[in-house]
Amino acid sequence: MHTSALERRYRRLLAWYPAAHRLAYGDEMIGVLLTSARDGQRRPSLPDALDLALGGLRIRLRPFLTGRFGPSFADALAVFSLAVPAIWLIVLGVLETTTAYHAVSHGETVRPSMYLLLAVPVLLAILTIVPIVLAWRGKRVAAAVVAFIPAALYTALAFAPPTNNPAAFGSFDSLLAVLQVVALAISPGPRRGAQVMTARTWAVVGATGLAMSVPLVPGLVRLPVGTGAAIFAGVAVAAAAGLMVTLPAAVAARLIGLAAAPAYLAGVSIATAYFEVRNPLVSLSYAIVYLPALAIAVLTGVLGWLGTRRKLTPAP
Amino acid sequence: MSRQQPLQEPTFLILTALAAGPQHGYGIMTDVAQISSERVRLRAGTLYAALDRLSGDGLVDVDREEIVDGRLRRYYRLTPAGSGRLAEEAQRLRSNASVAASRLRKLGTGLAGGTA
Repeated sequence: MHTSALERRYRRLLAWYPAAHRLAYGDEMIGVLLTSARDGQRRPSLPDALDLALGGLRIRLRPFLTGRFGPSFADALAVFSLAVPAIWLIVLGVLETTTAYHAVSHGETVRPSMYLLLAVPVLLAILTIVPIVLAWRGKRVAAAVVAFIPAALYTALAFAPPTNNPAAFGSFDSLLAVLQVVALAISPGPRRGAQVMTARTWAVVGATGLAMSVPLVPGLVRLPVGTGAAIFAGVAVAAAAGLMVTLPAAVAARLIGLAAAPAYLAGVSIATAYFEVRNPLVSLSYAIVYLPALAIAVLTGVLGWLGTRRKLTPAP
Repeated sequence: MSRQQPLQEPTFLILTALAAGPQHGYGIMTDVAQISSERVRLRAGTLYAALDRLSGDGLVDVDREEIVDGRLRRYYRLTPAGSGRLAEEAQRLRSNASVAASRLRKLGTGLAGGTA
Protein backbone atom coordinates (compact mmCIF):
# COMPACT_ATOMS: atom_id res chain seq x y z
CA MET A 1 0.00 0.00 0.00
CA HIS A 2 2.84 2.34 1.01
CA THR A 3 4.75 1.33 -2.08
CA SER A 4 1.91 2.17 -4.40
CA ALA A 5 1.43 5.63 -2.88
CA LEU A 6 5.16 6.24 -3.27
CA GLU A 7 5.14 4.91 -6.79
CA ARG A 8 2.22 7.15 -7.72
CA ARG A 9 4.10 10.16 -6.40
CA TYR A 10 7.26 9.24 -8.25
CA ARG A 11 5.26 8.77 -11.44
CA ARG A 12 3.83 12.24 -11.01
CA LEU A 13 7.37 13.63 -10.80
CA LEU A 14 8.21 11.94 -14.11
CA ALA A 15 5.96 14.55 -15.72
CA TRP A 16 9.14 16.68 -15.81
CA TYR A 17 10.38 14.40 -18.58
CA PRO A 18 9.39 14.45 -22.24
CA ALA A 19 6.89 11.71 -23.11
CA ALA A 20 9.44 9.88 -25.27
CA HIS A 21 11.86 9.69 -22.34
CA ARG A 22 9.11 8.47 -20.00
CA LEU A 23 8.22 5.78 -22.49
CA ALA A 24 11.83 4.64 -22.84
CA TYR A 25 12.96 4.87 -19.20
CA GLY A 26 9.91 5.55 -17.01
CA ASP A 27 9.33 2.03 -15.66
CA GLU A 28 13.02 1.48 -15.19
CA MET A 29 13.43 4.75 -13.28
CA ILE A 30 10.47 3.90 -11.05
CA GLY A 31 12.12 0.55 -10.37
CA VAL A 32 15.40 2.21 -9.37
CA LEU A 33 13.65 4.84 -7.25
CA LEU A 34 11.59 2.23 -5.40
CA THR A 35 14.64 0.01 -4.89
CA SER A 36 16.54 2.91 -3.33
CA ALA A 37 13.57 3.93 -1.14
CA ARG A 38 13.68 3.31 2.61
CA ASP A 39 11.29 0.81 4.14
CA GLY A 40 7.91 2.44 4.73
CA GLN A 41 8.84 5.56 2.79
CA ARG A 42 5.65 7.18 1.50
CA ARG A 43 6.90 10.35 -0.13
CA PRO A 44 9.76 11.09 -2.49
CA SER A 45 12.65 12.72 -0.64
CA LEU A 46 13.32 16.36 -1.51
CA PRO A 47 16.76 15.63 -3.06
CA ASP A 48 15.21 12.90 -5.24
CA ALA A 49 12.37 15.18 -6.30
CA LEU A 50 14.82 17.97 -7.19
CA ASP A 51 17.07 15.55 -9.02
CA LEU A 52 14.14 14.26 -11.08
CA ALA A 53 13.06 17.80 -11.94
CA LEU A 54 16.60 18.80 -12.91
CA GLY A 55 17.09 15.60 -14.91
CA GLY A 56 13.86 16.30 -16.80
CA LEU A 57 14.78 19.91 -17.49
CA ARG A 58 18.24 18.86 -18.63
CA ILE A 59 16.73 16.46 -21.13
CA ARG A 60 14.22 19.02 -22.34
CA LEU A 61 16.97 21.61 -22.78
CA ARG A 62 19.39 19.21 -24.44
CA PRO A 63 18.13 19.78 -28.00
CA PHE A 64 18.90 23.46 -27.59
CA LEU A 65 22.32 22.88 -26.05
CA THR A 66 23.36 20.39 -28.71
CA GLY A 67 21.47 21.90 -31.63
CA ARG A 68 19.93 18.46 -32.15
CA PHE A 69 16.23 19.23 -32.26
CA GLY A 70 13.65 16.58 -32.68
CA PRO A 71 12.65 16.60 -36.34
CA SER A 72 9.10 17.68 -35.45
CA PHE A 73 10.21 20.79 -33.55
CA ALA A 74 12.64 21.77 -36.30
CA ASP A 75 9.89 21.33 -38.89
CA ALA A 76 7.42 23.30 -36.78
CA LEU A 77 9.91 26.20 -36.61
CA ALA A 78 10.49 25.90 -40.36
CA VAL A 79 6.74 26.10 -41.08
CA PHE A 80 6.46 28.96 -38.57
CA SER A 81 9.16 30.91 -40.45
CA LEU A 82 7.00 30.85 -43.57
CA ALA A 83 3.37 30.64 -42.42
CA VAL A 84 3.36 33.37 -39.77
CA PRO A 85 4.87 36.05 -42.05
CA ALA A 86 2.36 34.99 -44.73
CA ILE A 87 -0.56 35.58 -42.33
CA TRP A 88 1.00 38.83 -41.19
CA LEU A 89 1.43 40.06 -44.79
CA ILE A 90 -2.19 39.22 -45.61
CA VAL A 91 -3.43 41.12 -42.53
CA LEU A 92 -1.16 44.05 -43.38
CA GLY A 93 -2.33 44.08 -47.00
CA VAL A 94 -6.04 43.88 -46.16
CA LEU A 95 -5.72 46.50 -43.46
CA GLU A 96 -3.87 48.99 -45.65
CA THR A 97 -6.16 48.52 -48.62
CA THR A 98 -9.33 48.87 -46.58
CA THR A 99 -7.98 51.83 -44.59
CA ALA A 100 -7.09 53.66 -47.82
CA TYR A 101 -10.49 52.77 -49.29
CA HIS A 102 -12.25 53.89 -46.11
CA ALA A 103 -10.40 57.23 -46.14
CA VAL A 104 -11.09 57.89 -49.79
CA SER A 105 -14.75 56.83 -49.64
CA HIS A 106 -15.29 59.12 -46.64
CA GLY A 107 -14.04 62.04 -48.72
CA GLU A 108 -10.83 62.65 -46.78
CA THR A 109 -8.43 64.92 -48.60
CA VAL A 110 -5.22 63.18 -49.60
CA ARG A 111 -2.41 64.90 -47.74
CA PRO A 112 1.33 64.27 -48.17
CA SER A 113 1.49 62.96 -44.57
CA MET A 114 -0.79 60.10 -45.63
CA TYR A 115 1.88 58.86 -48.02
CA LEU A 116 4.35 58.89 -45.17
CA LEU A 117 1.94 56.80 -43.09
CA LEU A 118 1.60 54.38 -45.99
CA ALA A 119 5.38 54.03 -46.15
CA VAL A 120 5.50 52.43 -42.69
CA PRO A 121 3.51 49.27 -43.56
CA VAL A 122 5.39 48.99 -46.84
CA LEU A 123 8.67 49.11 -44.94
CA LEU A 124 7.35 46.50 -42.47
CA ALA A 125 6.33 44.28 -45.38
CA ILE A 126 9.82 44.58 -46.88
CA LEU A 127 11.39 43.74 -43.52
CA THR A 128 9.14 40.66 -43.43
CA ILE A 129 9.82 39.44 -46.96
CA VAL A 130 13.57 40.08 -47.21
CA PRO A 131 14.57 37.70 -44.36
CA ILE A 132 12.49 34.92 -45.91
CA VAL A 133 14.17 35.39 -49.28
CA LEU A 134 17.59 35.44 -47.62
CA ALA A 135 16.85 32.30 -45.58
CA TRP A 136 15.43 30.62 -48.68
CA ARG A 137 18.79 31.18 -50.36
CA GLY A 138 20.56 29.66 -47.35
CA LYS A 139 21.79 32.94 -45.84
CA ARG A 140 20.63 32.12 -42.35
CA VAL A 141 22.66 34.71 -40.46
CA ALA A 142 21.72 37.57 -42.78
CA ALA A 143 18.05 36.52 -42.58
CA ALA A 144 18.09 36.53 -38.77
CA VAL A 145 19.86 39.90 -38.69
CA VAL A 146 17.28 41.59 -40.96
CA ALA A 147 14.39 39.93 -39.10
CA PHE A 148 15.90 41.28 -35.89
CA ILE A 149 15.12 44.88 -36.93
CA PRO A 150 11.29 44.64 -36.65
CA ALA A 151 11.69 42.33 -33.62
CA ALA A 152 13.75 44.98 -31.81
CA LEU A 153 11.29 47.68 -32.86
CA TYR A 154 8.20 45.83 -31.60
CA THR A 155 9.94 44.75 -28.43
CA ALA A 156 10.93 48.34 -27.73
CA LEU A 157 7.27 49.32 -28.26
CA ALA A 158 6.10 46.55 -25.95
CA PHE A 159 8.48 47.79 -23.26
CA ALA A 160 7.56 51.44 -23.76
CA PRO A 161 5.40 52.86 -20.96
CA PRO A 162 1.78 52.19 -21.95
CA THR A 163 0.64 55.82 -21.71
CA ASN A 164 -1.79 56.08 -24.59
CA ASN A 165 -1.26 52.43 -25.47
CA PRO A 166 -3.89 50.78 -23.26
CA ALA A 167 -3.97 47.51 -25.19
CA ALA A 168 -0.20 47.10 -24.98
CA PHE A 169 -0.04 46.64 -28.71
CA GLY A 170 3.44 45.52 -29.44
CA SER A 171 3.58 42.56 -27.07
CA PHE A 172 2.19 39.98 -29.50
CA ASP A 173 3.94 41.51 -32.51
CA SER A 174 7.12 41.52 -30.47
CA LEU A 175 6.77 37.87 -29.50
CA LEU A 176 5.93 36.79 -33.06
CA ALA A 177 8.84 38.77 -34.47
CA VAL A 178 11.29 37.41 -31.90
CA LEU A 179 10.07 33.87 -32.60
CA GLN A 180 10.58 34.57 -36.29
CA VAL A 181 14.21 35.54 -35.65
CA VAL A 182 14.65 32.33 -33.64
CA ALA A 183 12.98 30.24 -36.37
CA LEU A 184 15.18 31.74 -39.08
CA ALA A 185 18.33 31.40 -36.99
CA ILE A 186 18.02 27.84 -35.73
CA SER A 187 15.58 25.93 -37.93
CA PRO A 188 16.03 24.42 -41.40
CA GLY A 189 14.15 27.54 -42.59
CA PRO A 190 11.34 28.49 -44.96
CA ARG A 191 12.49 26.23 -47.80
CA ARG A 192 11.95 23.22 -45.52
CA GLY A 193 8.72 24.82 -44.30
CA ALA A 194 7.42 24.88 -47.87
CA GLN A 195 8.23 21.17 -48.22
CA VAL A 196 6.29 20.31 -45.06
CA MET A 197 3.27 22.48 -45.93
CA THR A 198 0.72 21.12 -48.33
CA ALA A 199 -1.61 23.09 -50.60
CA ARG A 200 -4.29 22.59 -47.96
CA THR A 201 -2.00 24.08 -45.29
CA TRP A 202 -1.60 27.13 -47.53
CA ALA A 203 -5.39 27.34 -47.77
CA VAL A 204 -5.59 27.32 -43.95
CA VAL A 205 -2.91 30.03 -43.76
CA GLY A 206 -4.66 32.20 -46.35
CA ALA A 207 -8.07 31.81 -44.74
CA THR A 208 -6.58 32.57 -41.30
CA GLY A 209 -4.96 35.75 -42.57
CA LEU A 210 -8.17 36.98 -44.19
CA ALA A 211 -10.32 36.06 -41.18
CA MET A 212 -7.95 37.77 -38.74
CA SER A 213 -8.16 40.96 -40.74
CA VAL A 214 -11.93 41.13 -40.18
CA PRO A 215 -11.94 42.59 -36.64
CA LEU A 216 -9.35 45.16 -37.76
CA VAL A 217 -11.05 46.48 -40.89
CA PRO A 218 -12.12 50.14 -40.48
CA GLY A 219 -15.88 50.46 -40.40
CA LEU A 220 -16.19 47.12 -38.62
CA VAL A 221 -14.33 48.26 -35.50
CA ARG A 222 -17.53 49.57 -33.92
CA LEU A 223 -18.36 46.01 -32.99
CA PRO A 224 -19.65 45.48 -29.45
CA VAL A 225 -16.90 45.04 -26.86
CA GLY A 226 -15.41 41.60 -27.01
CA THR A 227 -16.92 40.64 -30.35
CA GLY A 228 -13.64 41.27 -32.13
CA ALA A 229 -11.89 39.04 -29.63
CA ALA A 230 -14.56 36.36 -30.01
CA ILE A 231 -14.06 36.40 -33.78
CA PHE A 232 -10.33 36.24 -33.26
CA ALA A 233 -10.61 33.31 -30.83
CA GLY A 234 -12.83 31.45 -33.29
CA VAL A 235 -10.33 32.04 -36.08
CA ALA A 236 -7.46 30.86 -33.87
CA VAL A 237 -9.29 27.63 -32.98
CA ALA A 238 -10.22 27.02 -36.61
CA ALA A 239 -6.62 27.68 -37.69
CA ALA A 240 -5.33 25.24 -35.07
CA ALA A 241 -7.80 22.60 -36.26
CA GLY A 242 -6.80 23.29 -39.87
CA LEU A 243 -3.13 22.81 -39.04
CA MET A 244 -3.86 19.55 -37.20
CA VAL A 245 -5.65 18.24 -40.27
CA THR A 246 -3.18 19.39 -42.92
CA LEU A 247 0.19 18.86 -41.22
CA PRO A 248 1.79 15.83 -39.52
CA ALA A 249 0.25 15.78 -36.01
CA ALA A 250 3.57 16.18 -34.16
CA VAL A 251 4.57 19.19 -36.29
CA ALA A 252 1.11 20.77 -35.95
CA ALA A 253 1.11 20.31 -32.16
CA ARG A 254 4.49 22.03 -31.81
CA LEU A 255 3.49 24.79 -34.20
CA ILE A 256 0.35 25.47 -32.16
CA GLY A 257 2.51 25.49 -29.03
CA LEU A 258 4.79 28.11 -30.62
CA ALA A 259 1.87 30.30 -31.69
CA ALA A 260 -0.19 29.93 -28.50
CA ALA A 261 1.33 32.73 -26.42
CA PRO A 262 1.39 35.39 -29.20
CA ALA A 263 -2.14 34.39 -30.27
CA TYR A 264 -3.39 34.78 -26.70
CA LEU A 265 -1.77 38.21 -26.43
CA ALA A 266 -3.24 39.26 -29.78
CA GLY A 267 -6.70 38.18 -28.54
CA VAL A 268 -6.27 40.20 -25.34
CA SER A 269 -5.09 43.20 -27.38
CA ILE A 270 -8.17 43.07 -29.58
CA ALA A 271 -10.52 42.45 -26.64
CA THR A 272 -9.20 45.44 -24.75
CA ALA A 273 -8.69 47.75 -27.73
CA TYR A 274 -12.23 48.97 -27.17
CA PHE A 275 -11.48 50.24 -23.70
CA GLU A 276 -9.93 53.64 -23.45
CA VAL A 277 -8.65 52.92 -19.97
CA ARG A 278 -5.93 50.52 -19.01
CA ASN A 279 -7.30 47.08 -18.43
CA PRO A 280 -5.92 44.86 -15.64
CA LEU A 281 -6.16 41.86 -17.98
CA VAL A 282 -3.52 43.45 -20.19
CA SER A 283 -1.06 44.12 -17.39
CA LEU A 284 -1.58 40.62 -16.07
CA SER A 285 -1.12 39.01 -19.50
CA TYR A 286 1.91 41.16 -20.03
CA ALA A 287 3.51 39.96 -16.81
CA ILE A 288 2.57 36.28 -16.84
CA VAL A 289 2.46 35.50 -20.57
CA TYR A 290 4.46 38.01 -22.56
CA LEU A 291 7.57 38.41 -20.41
CA PRO A 292 8.12 34.69 -19.65
CA ALA A 293 7.35 33.70 -23.27
CA LEU A 294 9.77 36.34 -24.52
CA ALA A 295 12.45 35.11 -22.12
CA ILE A 296 11.93 31.50 -23.23
CA ALA A 297 12.02 32.49 -26.91
CA VAL A 298 15.25 34.45 -26.49
CA LEU A 299 16.83 31.66 -24.44
CA THR A 300 15.79 29.09 -27.03
CA GLY A 301 17.30 31.21 -29.76
CA VAL A 302 20.60 31.82 -27.98
CA LEU A 303 21.06 28.24 -26.80
CA GLY A 304 19.93 26.85 -30.15
CA TRP A 305 22.30 29.15 -31.97
CA LEU A 306 25.22 28.13 -29.78
CA GLY A 307 24.17 24.52 -30.24
CA THR A 308 23.98 24.63 -34.02
CA ARG A 309 27.26 26.51 -34.18
CA ARG A 310 28.85 23.85 -32.03
CA LYS A 311 27.42 21.20 -34.32
CA LEU A 312 28.66 22.94 -37.45
CA THR A 313 32.13 23.78 -36.12
CA PRO A 314 34.51 20.82 -36.16
CA ALA A 315 35.74 19.82 -32.71
CA PRO A 316 39.00 21.64 -31.82
CA MET B 1 39.29 11.03 -33.62
CA SER B 2 39.98 14.61 -32.56
CA ARG B 3 40.42 15.50 -28.89
CA GLN B 4 37.22 15.96 -26.95
CA GLN B 5 35.88 17.81 -23.96
CA PRO B 6 36.84 16.23 -20.62
CA LEU B 7 34.13 13.94 -19.24
CA GLN B 8 32.22 15.16 -16.23
CA GLU B 9 32.91 13.13 -13.14
CA PRO B 10 29.50 11.36 -12.92
CA THR B 11 29.80 10.38 -16.59
CA PHE B 12 33.34 9.15 -16.06
CA LEU B 13 32.20 7.09 -13.07
CA ILE B 14 29.24 5.60 -14.95
CA LEU B 15 31.52 4.49 -17.79
CA THR B 16 33.98 3.13 -15.22
CA ALA B 17 31.19 1.17 -13.53
CA LEU B 18 30.20 -0.34 -16.87
CA ALA B 19 33.82 -1.21 -17.65
CA ALA B 20 33.43 -4.04 -15.12
CA GLY B 21 30.64 -5.54 -17.25
CA PRO B 22 26.97 -4.94 -18.01
CA GLN B 23 24.97 -3.50 -15.09
CA HIS B 24 21.43 -2.30 -14.45
CA GLY B 25 20.57 1.20 -13.24
CA TYR B 26 20.56 0.45 -9.52
CA GLY B 27 23.78 -1.56 -9.91
CA ILE B 28 25.47 1.43 -11.56
CA MET B 29 24.33 3.71 -8.73
CA THR B 30 25.76 1.51 -6.01
CA ASP B 31 28.94 0.84 -7.98
CA VAL B 32 29.55 4.53 -8.61
CA ALA B 33 29.12 5.24 -4.89
CA GLN B 34 31.65 2.52 -4.12
CA ILE B 35 34.22 3.58 -6.75
CA SER B 36 34.08 7.17 -5.52
CA SER B 37 34.25 6.12 -1.86
CA GLU B 38 30.64 7.32 -1.37
CA ARG B 39 31.59 10.83 -2.54
CA VAL B 40 29.44 10.74 -5.68
CA ARG B 41 25.91 9.53 -5.06
CA LEU B 42 23.96 9.41 -8.29
CA ARG B 43 20.21 9.75 -8.14
CA ALA B 44 17.77 8.38 -10.68
CA GLY B 45 17.22 11.67 -12.52
CA THR B 46 20.93 12.32 -13.03
CA LEU B 47 21.68 8.70 -13.87
CA TYR B 48 19.02 8.34 -16.55
CA ALA B 49 19.72 11.75 -18.08
CA ALA B 50 23.35 10.59 -18.38
CA LEU B 51 22.46 7.12 -19.71
CA ASP B 52 20.16 8.67 -22.30
CA ARG B 53 22.90 11.05 -23.45
CA LEU B 54 25.56 8.31 -23.47
CA SER B 55 23.24 6.06 -25.51
CA GLY B 56 22.61 8.91 -27.92
CA ASP B 57 26.36 9.44 -28.30
CA GLY B 58 26.86 5.71 -28.88
CA LEU B 59 29.06 5.23 -25.79
CA VAL B 60 26.72 2.79 -24.00
CA ASP B 61 24.15 0.39 -25.29
CA VAL B 62 21.42 -1.83 -23.87
CA ASP B 63 22.85 -5.27 -23.14
CA ARG B 64 19.67 -7.12 -22.18
CA GLU B 65 16.36 -6.71 -20.37
CA GLU B 66 14.98 -8.78 -17.53
CA ILE B 67 11.76 -8.71 -15.57
CA VAL B 68 12.49 -8.93 -11.84
CA ASP B 69 9.52 -8.87 -9.41
CA GLY B 70 7.32 -7.63 -12.23
CA ARG B 71 9.65 -4.71 -12.96
CA LEU B 72 11.71 -4.01 -16.02
CA ARG B 73 15.42 -4.22 -15.38
CA ARG B 74 17.61 -3.10 -18.24
CA TYR B 75 21.32 -3.88 -18.33
CA TYR B 76 23.70 -1.45 -20.00
CA ARG B 77 27.15 -2.13 -21.41
CA LEU B 78 30.01 -0.09 -22.81
CA THR B 79 30.24 0.02 -26.58
CA PRO B 80 33.69 -0.09 -28.22
CA ALA B 81 33.37 3.70 -28.66
CA GLY B 82 32.54 3.96 -24.94
CA SER B 83 35.61 2.03 -23.82
CA GLY B 84 37.72 4.07 -26.23
CA ARG B 85 36.39 7.30 -24.75
CA LEU B 86 36.95 6.05 -21.20
CA ALA B 87 40.52 4.97 -22.04
CA GLU B 88 41.21 8.40 -23.55
CA GLU B 89 39.86 10.13 -20.46
CA ALA B 90 41.79 7.84 -18.10
CA GLN B 91 44.96 8.63 -20.03
CA ARG B 92 44.26 12.36 -19.80
CA LEU B 93 43.68 12.19 -16.04
CA ARG B 94 46.74 10.00 -15.58
CA SER B 95 49.01 12.40 -17.43
CA ASN B 96 47.62 15.40 -15.53
CA ALA B 97 48.06 13.57 -12.25
CA SER B 98 51.62 12.54 -13.05
CA VAL B 99 52.62 16.11 -13.93
CA ALA B 100 51.03 17.32 -10.70
CA ALA B 101 52.78 14.61 -8.68
CA SER B 102 56.20 15.27 -10.17
CA ARG B 103 55.91 19.03 -9.62
CA LEU B 104 54.74 18.49 -6.06
CA ARG B 105 57.78 16.30 -5.47
CA LYS B 106 60.03 19.14 -6.67
CA LEU B 107 58.08 21.63 -4.60
CA GLY B 108 58.42 19.29 -1.63
CA THR B 109 62.27 19.20 -1.94
CA GLY B 110 62.42 22.94 -2.59
CA LEU B 111 60.35 23.75 0.47
CA ALA B 112 61.71 21.02 2.72
CA GLY B 113 61.04 22.01 6.31
CA GLY B 114 59.60 25.43 5.40
CA THR B 115 56.01 26.42 6.12
CA ALA B 116 54.22 29.72 5.72
